[in-house]
Amino acid sequence: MTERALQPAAETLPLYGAPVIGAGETVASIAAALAGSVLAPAGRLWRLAVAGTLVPILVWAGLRSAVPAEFGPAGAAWWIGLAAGCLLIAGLLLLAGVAWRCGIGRLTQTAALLCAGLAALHPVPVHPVSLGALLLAGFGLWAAALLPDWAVLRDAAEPDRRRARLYRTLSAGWCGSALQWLAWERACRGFGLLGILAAVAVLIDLALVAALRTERHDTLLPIALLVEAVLSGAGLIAALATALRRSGRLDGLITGRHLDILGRLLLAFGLAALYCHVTEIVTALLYGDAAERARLTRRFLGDEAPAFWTLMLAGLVPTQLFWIPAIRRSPLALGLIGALVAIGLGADHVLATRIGMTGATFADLLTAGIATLGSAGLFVLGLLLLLRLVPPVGIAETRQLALAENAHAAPRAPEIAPDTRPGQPLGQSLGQLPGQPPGQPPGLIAIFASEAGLAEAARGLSGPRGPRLDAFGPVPMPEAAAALHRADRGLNRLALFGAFLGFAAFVAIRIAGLAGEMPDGPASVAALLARPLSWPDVWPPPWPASWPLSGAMAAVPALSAAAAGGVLGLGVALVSALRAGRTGRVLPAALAGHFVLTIEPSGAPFNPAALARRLSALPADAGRPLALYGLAAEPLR
Amino acid sequence: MSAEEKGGAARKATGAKSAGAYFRDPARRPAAAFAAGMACLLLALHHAGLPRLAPAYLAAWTCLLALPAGALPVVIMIERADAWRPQPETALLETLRGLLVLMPVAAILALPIPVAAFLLYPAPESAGPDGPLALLGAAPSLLAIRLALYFALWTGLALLFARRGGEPWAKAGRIDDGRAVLGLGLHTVVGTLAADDLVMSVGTDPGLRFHASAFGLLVLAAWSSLALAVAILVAPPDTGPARRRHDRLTPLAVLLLVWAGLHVVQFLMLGAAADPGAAAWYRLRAGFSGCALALSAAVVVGLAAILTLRPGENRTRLVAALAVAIHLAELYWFVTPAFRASFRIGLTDLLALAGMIGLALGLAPVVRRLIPGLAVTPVWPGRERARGRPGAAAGDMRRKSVVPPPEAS
Repeated sequence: MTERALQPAAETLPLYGAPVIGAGETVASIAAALAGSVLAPAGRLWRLAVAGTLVPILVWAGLRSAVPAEFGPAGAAWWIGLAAGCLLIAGLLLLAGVAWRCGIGRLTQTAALLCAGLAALHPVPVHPVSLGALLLAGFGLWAAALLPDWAVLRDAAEPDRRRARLYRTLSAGWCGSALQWLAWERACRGFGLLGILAAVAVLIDLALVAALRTERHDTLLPIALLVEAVLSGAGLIAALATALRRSGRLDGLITGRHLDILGRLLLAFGLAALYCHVTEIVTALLYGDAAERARLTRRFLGDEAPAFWTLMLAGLVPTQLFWIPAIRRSPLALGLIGALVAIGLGADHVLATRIGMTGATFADLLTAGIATLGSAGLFVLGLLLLLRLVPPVGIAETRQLALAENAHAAPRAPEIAPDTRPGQPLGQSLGQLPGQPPGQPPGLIAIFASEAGLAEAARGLSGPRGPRLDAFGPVPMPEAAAALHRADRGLNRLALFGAFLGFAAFVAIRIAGLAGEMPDGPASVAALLARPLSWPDVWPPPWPASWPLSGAMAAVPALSAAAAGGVLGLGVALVSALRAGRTGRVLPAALAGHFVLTIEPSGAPFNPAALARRLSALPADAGRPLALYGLAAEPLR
Repeated sequence: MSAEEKGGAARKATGAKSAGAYFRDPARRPAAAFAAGMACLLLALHHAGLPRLAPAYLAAWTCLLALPAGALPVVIMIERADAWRPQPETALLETLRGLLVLMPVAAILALPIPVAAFLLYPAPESAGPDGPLALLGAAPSLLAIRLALYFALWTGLALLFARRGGEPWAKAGRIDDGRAVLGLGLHTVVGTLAADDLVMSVGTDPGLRFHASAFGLLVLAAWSSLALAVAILVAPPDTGPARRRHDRLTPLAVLLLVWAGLHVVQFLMLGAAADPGAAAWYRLRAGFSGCALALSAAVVVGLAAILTLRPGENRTRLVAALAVAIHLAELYWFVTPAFRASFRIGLTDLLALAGMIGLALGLAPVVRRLIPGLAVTPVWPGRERARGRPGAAAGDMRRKSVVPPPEAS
């Protein structure tokens, strides 16, 4: 029985439907366009946009103190919903291995991070651990996904020493080796999973807070909040993607197909959210008591009507316009409807906090609404600043998609050292890369057109007395890592260990706190723990929140604590894996973006000329390199 | 030659068979299964009487309904996901499509439910605090009409999604987004109403009535998880190179996590609401067996989640087998405590389940003949041919897909 037999396929066949990347995009052009968009001096449009955000920020700062205290949690819940939705979209697309995610992945991760940060500026209704975990998971995913892109920016920013130093620090010694790519892919998937966990936990926490503090006890509320979070996140991303595509000339990377998919996503989740609300209404009509029907009437016609009808008419019904293909494919309509949906769904958080029952006036509602929209200025400012630091579209993932989709996307052989063409008698006559001093240690650098060719060559050269091999490339190289017998199992273990530690620490603190609140202290806690799953005999229970209910409710932030612990553990594991993945050498900048195999002596007799002949004898489509060079040594950056 | 031997020789000469051999004949297996199923139900009726058999029959019937109704959304999702995958799923999808034939069978076997509605659901005049719509809907005749409507829609969906446009991975056979969304949406609405109508409303005591708007989704998740687990157990493995095979454990683990999450969320929200009806409903089901079931379910879900880190065929089958056991017990946990003051599985329940299996096996070939659109090529006859296949992995030795891999198409 081969336990690793059921791994998903590594290669991607052409996708079904219209192309999700421009036909002319190549490995080199993607890096040039995206690095250029970050490293080019800020344009007038960017400066104007930054200046434009100052107005809503000033409005927010001015009105912040005037907003009634009851509205604060609704604003925080709206930002939490957006953050959780973006994180859920990013995590699910990552875990599902959806190839086209690169067009919107960076936007989604950045928006999740900013929204979680903005939620922290409001009075937060959920447990602080839940919000902390959301923030931490969002940051972990964002930072981890950026590592290879920062290395590209590091290489591209050489003339600007300050920027190059910044990106060198941020890239944490990234050299693109097979082991680093392996660790990066696993870490990104791990952060995605932990992000989903943190997002689901914070949304359930939000629903429980609403159920405990108000009369809204509908069991579909957590699911409705989850669905609406994804819907609002998709709306926000649709609005941002259309704006970025228009202003950044990124039509080849954020294609019309991406917009079409976002429209379909909005349509599907709009239907799911409608299902939740209609089911709630139908269940109340069919099985509910008089009090539930009275609540329903209040929602349709009473004090909750403004929020309810805003939710329906701005947040849910417009999504159904996407049944019409022309609207779905119109960038303007998609952007406008996406923004409307993202804003309109905030009304459900107003419903969840039952602001109507607090006696707030229309002026209070208006003040709170303007202040909340003012805080969106902070979001836009943060986004504009971050997009001057990081590429708006993931470089590594887009390169991966281009290699799978475009026949001519692969890097060509570098135009240097004309005497190094394959097939020539090699050995002492091997060319040196420009700028390298003579007298390098013996070794070879082989350049390949694809990962498959590199893996074939690595398989051909590897053996018990074979040379020391290492692979470098512009995209993840699972096949090459397998050929080189590289494996990294430490990431999952450290993440699980961190999650366990986070969970255990939270539970210990919680039990210590509970013992202080109970009549008999630790003895009462021990008595409760002795009957773990018993439903309270007396209803309502004697304590404000009884066991197992209080235990179960504490489990939600405990889940968040586990996610936070997992993120920290995974972060530590990734940093150590990156250090382990450094090969002690950095390839010359001329080879950046190529599939490179370095061949060095491993103690056994080493004959570069014989190795070069072996490589040159391989079939052109099964491991023969495009070019061979002598090994260049350079101090590690 | 003795008289007995003479009789045997005479029977052999005329082509006649003994009673055992008669029913072991593959052509007569459906009839034999049907007869055995009827016998089990009659035995249960004799053992427990109609009032105790009716809830057991309803619970067993929901287990049967779970297979086609649960397979339907999974078929749609897999078929839709295949559009984005390098190698579409093959044998598992075919097996799930094969389960759709049970939809008309479940419809036929639902006939006794409206007849026994007075034993299963509260009488219209004792609807208690429920609204006027519930009062209207509790009448047996209206229940029968609603059941007919649900099954008409479900059978239509089954016919639509069991149809193969050539080979399943052929582009022409792939469903588009609109069809997928409409299919899933319609199934969700019908499934929610059916689950509320048939499962959530059980119990003749108005004091023990319970309602939760997430209940429909919870039952749909349980059905889908059960159907996928059964399909994993029945389907042969994918052919093709080992590294290109699909991981079947992850979808099952995701469904199990969703199902468990819905259970937890429902429990927490009802607990936060301090609803006396919900407290009574849970207290009735929280005895020793109920707690043991909850703990076992938690263990299975945790095991499924952990094993996704090291997936393997045997591990997947182990989790699937455990999931089937948990879901079958859960479907009884929903229904039977409303009539017995606690949750326990007895002889009547087992006989009802055996009877339901027998009747379904007996009726399925008839339905296949009557509705050819549901007659999906079965995948299991090819298993025997795979014995001793050189180069097969240990887990592949006894099974082989009759469905060729996409490369061969």
